[in-house]
Amino acid sequence: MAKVQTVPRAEIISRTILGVFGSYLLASAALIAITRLWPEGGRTAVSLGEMTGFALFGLAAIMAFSMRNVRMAWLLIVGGAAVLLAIGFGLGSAGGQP
Amino acid sequence: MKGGIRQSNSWLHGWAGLLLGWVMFAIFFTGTIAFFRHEVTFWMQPELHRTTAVGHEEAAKVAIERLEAIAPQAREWGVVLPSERNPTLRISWDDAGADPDNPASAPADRLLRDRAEKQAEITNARGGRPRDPGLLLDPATGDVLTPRDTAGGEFLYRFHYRLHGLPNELGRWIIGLATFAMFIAIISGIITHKKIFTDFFTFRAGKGQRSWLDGHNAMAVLSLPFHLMITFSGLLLLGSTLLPWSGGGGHGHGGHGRAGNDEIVAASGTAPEQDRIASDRIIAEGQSIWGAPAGRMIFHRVNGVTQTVELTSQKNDDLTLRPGGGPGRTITFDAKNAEVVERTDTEAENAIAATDRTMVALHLGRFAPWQFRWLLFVAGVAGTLMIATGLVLWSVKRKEKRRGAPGTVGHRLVDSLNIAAITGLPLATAAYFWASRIISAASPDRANLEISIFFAVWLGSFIHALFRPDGKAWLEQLIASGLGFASLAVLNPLSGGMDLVTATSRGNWIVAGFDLTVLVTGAVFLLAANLLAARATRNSSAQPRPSNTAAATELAREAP
Repeated sequence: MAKVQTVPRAEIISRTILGVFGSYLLASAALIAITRLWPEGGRTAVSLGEMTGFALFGLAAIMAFSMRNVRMAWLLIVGGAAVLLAIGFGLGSAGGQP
Repeated sequence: MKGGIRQSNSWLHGWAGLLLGWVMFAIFFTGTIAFFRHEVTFWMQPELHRTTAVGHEEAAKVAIERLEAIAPQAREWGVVLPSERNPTLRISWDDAGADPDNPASAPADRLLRDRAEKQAEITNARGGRPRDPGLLLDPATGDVLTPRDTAGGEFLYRFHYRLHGLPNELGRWIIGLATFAMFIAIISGIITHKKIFTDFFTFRAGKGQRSWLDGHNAMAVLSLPFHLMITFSGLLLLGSTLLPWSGGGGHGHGGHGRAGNDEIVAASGTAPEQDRIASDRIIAEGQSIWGAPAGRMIFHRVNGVTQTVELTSQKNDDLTLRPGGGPGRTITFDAKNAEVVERTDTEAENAIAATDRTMVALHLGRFAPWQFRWLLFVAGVAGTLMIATGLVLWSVKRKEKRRGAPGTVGHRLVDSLNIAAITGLPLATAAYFWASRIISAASPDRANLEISIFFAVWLGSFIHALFRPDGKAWLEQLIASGLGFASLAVLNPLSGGMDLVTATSRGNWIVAGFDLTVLVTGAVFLLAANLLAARATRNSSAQPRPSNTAAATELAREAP
């Protein structure tokens, strides 16, 4: 049997915050970026944004608890959200691209 | 939490599953019943049980005749034709702008109209999509049916996505959080589970924690695609609440644009409407264009004369048609000569919309023929059992770790909540069905009374679970639920419904299906109670020795 080491409480709290709020942030960022970048926005963009957002939520929540390196998990999830938001607001516009 | 991917996901699975597990259980339980919400409502109104469906053409004629007598000046008539899920004929009217003291109506018809309008106000005040005043008819005779007011399957359906008595958005958020948790619990559960398919064939009975785990795995793997689909599409259905950043849109069951036919010169006539409207040809034409049965008709009228008839299919025959807000195929006909004025099929415009719609359509199951509906129901039952076994497993694991030591307050609370959810909710549901029959049909506000009984019994089951020892509480509530469900099949014919034998011989599968389902459900609960009781006696007769040995070992260890 593999050696089992217990994870410190602070790390559990950190991972939980990342798993809950970080994942939600990433999902929101994905939706916002897609609806702003998609040509003409509209229902299709919202569909794609929601489907991508919820899928990323699941992925991020698992990453938050599975990745060995907590800092890397934070960087990927919150950093990913920041990049998506930056692209969405930098290159897209409300209601999609004209 | 321990290191290692499988262990950390096991930890995540346990906590994500527990924290909102009771809400998930309630969602799955009521949502599973909601696949049959129309049938449940029909059963709860025994006044309707003897209605027999007739052909669409015949039913439409009956409806038009009735509507002309009751609301001759209405600017719109609505007709819901009989279907395999509801053999009654529903007529409704929108009287906006019409002269309220229409001289054309006979006093009896005016009385019917006033009563229907008052009833519509009450129903609309309860929430849900507002409906025009209307009446239910026996399609064979045209007689007005007066079923009791009931919260019906609709209440359980609404409960599963927005709970009850909470502001809409708050209710949807709580459901949404549980759905998020479910989604995470499913993914982490799959990761935790090393040998997902070989374990599926493993069942170690009577081994405590191992048996519960095997049962949990079997239920999970059995309908894993369903669990993933229903949870992910559940998130999509709540998308506009959970991710409110898209500026509206969303899956709301919003109204659809009404075809404007204002340019058409108003036809007028003195002949009675049933002679003027080519309803036979309209229905036949529509059904042959779609190759699918017609479901609803909307008559657009000017000055008491129908100009166009909007025919809608009974249900979607394609997963990519708009899944909510009524079936997605409509043809507008000229009322007099049955010529097609306009045809709308709400097909998805691209692959993204098609994917989204397919998932949502599978969740709602409105397209489903009865065989598929049963499959969804069975998968829903498996999901409900998966959550139940998971919740129990959480408790059993900690109990085995404690080795007979009394549980903490938290453990006690989890146990009581488990009992109140897993046996208390079914008990409350059985009581709810009972309530539909024992509250007097004429009682005012009886629909809300049904709902109050549901919550009172549910609360009672929680209090019972708090104050009774664990094993006794489980046993008593299992027996009560079992008797509660099974007895519904007896209560049904005694309170005006059609008995199982007659229903089966007449092919009334809505009533027979309900009765058979409650009989099976009741039997399963009683069987579970029997197993539990047998185990309790076995344990109590085997108890003294192991605990004596344990005590002896303790003593021996403490002895110097």
